[in-house]
Amino acid sequence: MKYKFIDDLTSDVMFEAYGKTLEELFSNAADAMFSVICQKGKVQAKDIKEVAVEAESEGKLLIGWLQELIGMVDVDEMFFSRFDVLSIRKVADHGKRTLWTLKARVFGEPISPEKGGTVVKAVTNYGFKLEKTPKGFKARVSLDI
Amino acid sequence: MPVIEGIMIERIKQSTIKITTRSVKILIDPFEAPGDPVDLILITHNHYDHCDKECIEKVRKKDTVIIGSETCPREIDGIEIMKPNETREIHGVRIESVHAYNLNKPFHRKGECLGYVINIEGKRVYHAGDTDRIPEMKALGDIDIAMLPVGGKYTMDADEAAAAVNEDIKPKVAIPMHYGDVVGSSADAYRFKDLCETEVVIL
Repeated sequence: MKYKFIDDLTSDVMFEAYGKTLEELFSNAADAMFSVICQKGKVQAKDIKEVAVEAESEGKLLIGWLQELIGMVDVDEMFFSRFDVLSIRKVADHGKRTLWTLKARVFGEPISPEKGGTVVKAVTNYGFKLEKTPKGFKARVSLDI
Repeated sequence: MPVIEGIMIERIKQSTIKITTRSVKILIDPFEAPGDPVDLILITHNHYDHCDKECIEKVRKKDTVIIGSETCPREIDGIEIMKPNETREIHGVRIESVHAYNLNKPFHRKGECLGYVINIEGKRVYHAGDTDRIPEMKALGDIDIAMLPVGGKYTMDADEAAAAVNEDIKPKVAIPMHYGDVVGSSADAYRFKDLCETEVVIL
């Protein structure tokens, strides 16, 4: 299973995403989010955008990645349907602070209203969780819609 | 810590602002802030960079009052919800809630987010929240210190924020925020400073 929706409140959507690796988890979480934002099955992978995100932890990196994609929908006026997370790396920053980096390529096409879903405004912090499981990784994400 | 108009104001990151006087400590939009306890937490809306669970639990003490907008999670124990255009008196500080919303973006709808005017030490301090340059800014009354988002994308940008300062709010001092983490950079803060006709302090 790539993801499942676990709660559907009036102003929030919550889902759990899964992956054998962090890269797979991040890709599946983006998949889940774009199944809310647009009718993902109808969105063709015609155009490519590169995405790079940095954060202090894996959890913050996942929030940052999803938030970056939310912003790209509005700024680039695109829907996305494929998310190739190329690398997630833990790198030392000045030997003291930990820094996580993500590089990805995302594929989609210009926004068209007939392929639209629900506008996602942001990721929220309450309910957020990222944990290791015997099978890999699991994250719980709540979106403000 | 910088003292502006006699009030200690610190920008921790993003729109996370700490105000300290002799009698009260206020934290606005908690996001990855250090764990010093505060008396009052004001949350403008529920997005992760304004309403950070870990941070709230770290800085709250027994008698900390927490105020949030309609969209803030009720899991925050004891949270008091304010709607726009209400007033509360807490720890001797008068808090006015004001509108904050987007005009040409989908991220913050009218009624879901707040700005705050904090009446403290005889000054009126405005934290705009995540907002565009909205008509309500003209009706804020006298503002001594105005903290405005300048990062663009999810809020107004530096040019729009400077226009709000020069034409609508006319504060004595303006402080740029909402840049450097999720969106925007210090270049936005310096552009805001260049465009404002009033004193600008970059924190």
